[in-house]
Amino acid sequence: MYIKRVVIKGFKTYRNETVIDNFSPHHNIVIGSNGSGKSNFFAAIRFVLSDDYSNLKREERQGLIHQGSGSVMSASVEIVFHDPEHRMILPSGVSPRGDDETFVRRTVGLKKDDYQLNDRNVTKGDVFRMLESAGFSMSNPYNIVPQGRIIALTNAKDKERLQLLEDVVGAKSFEIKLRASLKKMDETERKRSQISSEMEELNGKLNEMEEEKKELEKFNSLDKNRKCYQFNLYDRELNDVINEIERLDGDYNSTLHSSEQYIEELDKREDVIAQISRKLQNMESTLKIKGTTELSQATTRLNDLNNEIAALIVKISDLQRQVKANDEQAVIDGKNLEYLNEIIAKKQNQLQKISPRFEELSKDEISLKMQLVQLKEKQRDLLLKKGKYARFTTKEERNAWIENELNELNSTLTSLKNLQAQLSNDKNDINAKLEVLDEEIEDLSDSIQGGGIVAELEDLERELLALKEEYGKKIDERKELWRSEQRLQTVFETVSENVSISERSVDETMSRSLANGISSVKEITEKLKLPEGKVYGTLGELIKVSDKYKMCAEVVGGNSLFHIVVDTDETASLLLKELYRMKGGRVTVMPLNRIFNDPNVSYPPNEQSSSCTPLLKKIKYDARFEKAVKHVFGKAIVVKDLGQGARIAKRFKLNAITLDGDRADQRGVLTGGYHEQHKKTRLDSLRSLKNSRTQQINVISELERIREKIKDSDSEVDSINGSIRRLYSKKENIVATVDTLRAKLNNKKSEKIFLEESDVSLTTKLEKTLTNIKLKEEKMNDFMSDLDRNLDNELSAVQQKELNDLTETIKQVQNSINITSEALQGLTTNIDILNAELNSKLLPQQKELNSKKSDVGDLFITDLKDEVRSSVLERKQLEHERDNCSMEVTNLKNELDSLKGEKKNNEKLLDKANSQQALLLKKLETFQKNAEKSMIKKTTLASRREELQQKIREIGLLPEDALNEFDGLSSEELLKKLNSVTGKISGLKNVNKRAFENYKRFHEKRTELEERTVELEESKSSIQNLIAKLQQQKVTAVDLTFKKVSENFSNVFEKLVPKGAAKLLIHRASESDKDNDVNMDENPSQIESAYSGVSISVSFNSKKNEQLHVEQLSGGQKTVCAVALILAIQMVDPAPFYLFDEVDAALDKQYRTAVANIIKDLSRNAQFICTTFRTDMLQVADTFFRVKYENKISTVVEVDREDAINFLSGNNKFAEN
Amino acid sequence: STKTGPLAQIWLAANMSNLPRNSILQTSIVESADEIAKVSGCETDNGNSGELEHITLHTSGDLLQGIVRVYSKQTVFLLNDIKDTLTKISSLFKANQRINV
Ligand SMILES: Nc1ncnc2c1ncn2[C@@H]1O[C@H](COP(=O)(O)OP(=O)(O)OP(=O)(O)O)[C@@H](O)[C@H]1O
Ligand SMILES: [Mg+2]
Repeated sequence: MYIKRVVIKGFKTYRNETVIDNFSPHHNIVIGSNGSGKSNFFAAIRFVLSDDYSNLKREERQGLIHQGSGSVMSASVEIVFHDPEHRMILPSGVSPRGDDETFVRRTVGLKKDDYQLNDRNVTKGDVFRMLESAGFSMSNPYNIVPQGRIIALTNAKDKERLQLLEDVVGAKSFEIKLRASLKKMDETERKRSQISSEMEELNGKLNEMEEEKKELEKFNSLDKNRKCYQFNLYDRELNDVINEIERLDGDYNSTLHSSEQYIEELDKREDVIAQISRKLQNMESTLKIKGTTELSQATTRLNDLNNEIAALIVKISDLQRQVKANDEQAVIDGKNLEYLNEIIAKKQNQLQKISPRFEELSKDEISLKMQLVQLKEKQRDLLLKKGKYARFTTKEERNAWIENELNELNSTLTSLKNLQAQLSNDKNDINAKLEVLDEEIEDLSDSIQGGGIVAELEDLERELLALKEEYGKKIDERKELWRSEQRLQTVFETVSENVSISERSVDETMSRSLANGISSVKEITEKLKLPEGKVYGTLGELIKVSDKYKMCAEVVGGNSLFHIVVDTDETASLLLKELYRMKGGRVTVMPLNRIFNDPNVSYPPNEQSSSCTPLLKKIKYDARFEKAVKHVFGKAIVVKDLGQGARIAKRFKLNAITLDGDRADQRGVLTGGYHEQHKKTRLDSLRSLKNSRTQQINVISELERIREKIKDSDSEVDSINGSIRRLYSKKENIVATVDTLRAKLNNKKSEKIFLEESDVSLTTKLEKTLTNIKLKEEKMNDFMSDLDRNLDNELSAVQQKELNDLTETIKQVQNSINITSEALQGLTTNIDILNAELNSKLLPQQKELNSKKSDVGDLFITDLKDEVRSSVLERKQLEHERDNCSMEVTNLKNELDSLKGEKKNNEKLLDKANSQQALLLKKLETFQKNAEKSMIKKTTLASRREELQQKIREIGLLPEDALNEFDGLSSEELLKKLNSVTGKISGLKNVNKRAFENYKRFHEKRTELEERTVELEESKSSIQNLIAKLQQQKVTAVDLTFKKVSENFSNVFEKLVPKGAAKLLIHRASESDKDNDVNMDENPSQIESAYSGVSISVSFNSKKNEQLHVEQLSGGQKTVCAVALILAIQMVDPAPFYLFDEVDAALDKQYRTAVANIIKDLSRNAQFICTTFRTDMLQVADTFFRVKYENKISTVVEVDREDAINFLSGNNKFAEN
Repeated sequence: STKTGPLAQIWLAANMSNLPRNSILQTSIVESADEIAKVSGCETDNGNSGELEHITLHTSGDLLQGIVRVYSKQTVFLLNDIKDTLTKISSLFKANQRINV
């Protein structure tokens, strides 16, 4: 182990971080001028490794930390040891570095002072212990010789030298440890005394335990025989309980057996009841159907027939009434007509009488009016003239006025003339129109009354009648169909109800997903309209099994009864794909083309066939499904009893099955047990489902058929309706045409009349215009006359006279007009009355009567009549229908009665069966009760048995002899003995049951503890004598090392001073008491070292005499002695490294070379770091460091040997620092 | 050095602060004392003490301290055990009073 690297920072002159690396493990020399920092370097190492710089005061710290430029607050020195053999044992918690290096660093600041080992903070003690463990004592390190201290070693007193020696030996630390261990020994002494006292107490307690043990033994013996007694007693009781239970079992079985027969009977009864109830049920359903639907239908039909008939009767009656009324009406009309005609005739001839006078008068009136007008005209002319010309002053004016009057008159005259022309040709075309009209009227009237029309109408009527009849028939037919459809509907409902019931019963027997799987399969088949041959439905439906074997088929089939049998695997995959898409549950499909039937299924030969028959033979199925059925039932054989069945099954690898459903597999496994017999088995439910479904299907088909019939009957009805309607429409439009014609005729007539009137008015207008023309012409003539007359305003006398008589005549004409107008008035009034009467009342009446008579006459009456006939016919038909309907109702009723009667006696039967059932049940109950009673007894006994067994178990193991020892004694004696023993036992005090074990346990414990105390005793003594030996050892060690050191000392000295000789002398404390330090006694002070000191006697120039004492030596000689001593010690207890700061300063050449040589061969196994100013050391050293000092900072540089020598020699010569 | 030898326990006791209880109970002090004596070379009777490279006083001091420490620990454990058994017995006694036949 040696120092590999030193890192100094902020320590004295080493302000910056200076790293002094690759120290040689042998000999290193540090050179440098004075004050360059060599000693500082050594001080740094001592700062870390030795005790000199511990608990520094403030000034000391400053002394160490670099004082100079820059604020350096802390100094840190790190020494890296290279320690391959791990001589230094790192304290716990410090992790060794991988590369055998150990970092020891100490940093000190103004307040801080801590040590670090491999970068882990550790205490100073840890570092101390570690270094000591590596053989380097820090307290008084002889191997670090600071500058100028070499001599101190030789000047030291003998005592110090002894101590140094002891350090070398490690005696001191040994002493410390010795003292500590002695102290510990005393402590343990005290504890041991405590132990001994505790032990006594323990012994005391154990003795007590011993007594208890004795007591327990006694107790146990007593207890033993108590147990025997108890055991015997319990045993006896147990036996009789057990045989009691057996007895009970026996009679329970007997009751059970007898109750079994009753149970069978019960089942039989139950089937009977089931049948009866089923019969009752379907009777009820038929009753319901008959009772409710048909009856109600029939009654409703009856009722509506009745009221139809009633309605018909009413209709017929009122028709007849109508016919009668018509006839009467006709008669009345006839009378009215005649009367009317008379009146009309009377009125007309009155009219004729009046009308000529009227015309005459009116003519007069007109002529008078014309006259009046003319006269007035004249008068007015005259007046005008008189007046007219009054206005004109002059003739010309007058003439002018007259001329324009004349023009005017001319124009009016011409207008009048062409008006007159126009009127006349109007008149002509009117006449033409009149003629045309007449013709039209002519053909219209004959078309109306024409024979063709009437004939057409008639056959229309007849056709209509026929159609009506047909329509009636069709309606009835349809009604009939409706009724049957309704009936079927109800039947369909009941059937579908059955289907759903049976479906539910089927669903009960299988899981839900399977159920809706099968239903969705049905949907799919319908949806995809797979042909019939594709999906056959569930296996259960396809097979028929006789009742006897139904149970075995059921058990063998199990769920496979619900497998869907399909013809090929394509359809199967199609179905499954569809099912999966619809997520319609889960179903297994058996494609027939894929099923493999293992051919070598061998059935037992015939002679054994008596006891077993293959199930396959008992199942009836369609040949197509043979493969599927074989697949499921192939292996099953029906056997009488299970044992034999199992054997056969095993031999022939079949499944044996008994009638009531127990199976024996070819592996010999027996399965069976409870099957819900009375519940509908799968096969029945499937079959009921199948036939209810077939019922449903044919009901549906029937329903379909009827619906079709209804549909086509509807269509027929509609067609008939259509044709009827068409006929009606034809008739109507014929009538309409007739009416239109008539209307046309009328308006033609009215037109004619209108034309006539217009003709008349035209003629009057014509006349008027003629008159006007005449007037105008007169006026023109007047004017013409006036023209040439001169303007004389006054009327000439003639004119005046003319005027007067004009007025006169006017007046006359006026009153004659008045008279004629009055007369006319009178005439017109009664003409009007007559006309009014005629036209308004009589004529229309007559016309109406005529029209009624004419058209109404036959048409109306005829259809009335045939309506009457048809309704009579219908009534007859209805009556006939009503009769058979009532007849139907009656037989329905008595059918119902018969059903009710049947139902009644069925119910009676059911009650009887139920009562028997009740009787059976009562009997069963009695069995049940006493079975229960025996069961209860059995359970109580069983619990008692349990109890006893428990007790016996509690008593525990007993020696065999104890058992039969007391057999002879009767139970009473046993009981007495038992009580006495228990009495004795209770006499004992509280016996600690577990005393025995406790005692045993603690006894062992005590012995163990005793052993340990003895052991401790021995170990104490052994330690004591060990201490004595070690002390002795110490002394001998000291002697030994002293001898060795002194030997080495003399040899080294020999080498250093060939001429001289040296010896180390050791003085004992006191020669006399040599023996007492061997035997150790208590007092600690005795262990002080037995010696008092070590002195050196040395002579330099002669070997024999002249033993100079140390004080008398010179400086150099002292250093030689010191070096020799150090090296001698080094040989004995080799320190890992040595630091010599200018040890050879005071030596002369000869000695220096000697020292160098010694160091050289010692440096082979120890590291030397020396500073020197002499070159001798350099010759032998390996590595050289040069310390430079610039502006207060020292730096270290590695140099080679020549530089170092030059430096030193240079230094000597010029002595620069 | 003696780390792996019989004295390992002792040496550990010397250096380490805590020691497992059962290791302490197992080490027999008498043997280890003889061992130390032998190792530190003070066995005069076997004669060959001189040649053996003896352990330094320092380590023998350590070992001594170790053995003493083990010894004291053993005594402490013994004392505790005794105390335990004592308490157990007394508790048992108290319990006994209560159990009667
Ligand atoms: N705390 C400090 N801060 C700064 N400089 C310091 C400090 N302590 C000492 N010095 C300087 O270090 C120098 C002493 O160095 P050192 O004793 O190592 O010299 P040396 O090389 O041993 O000389 P010689 O050859 O005489 O022994 C002195 O000049 C002193 O100024
Ligand atoms: Mg110096």
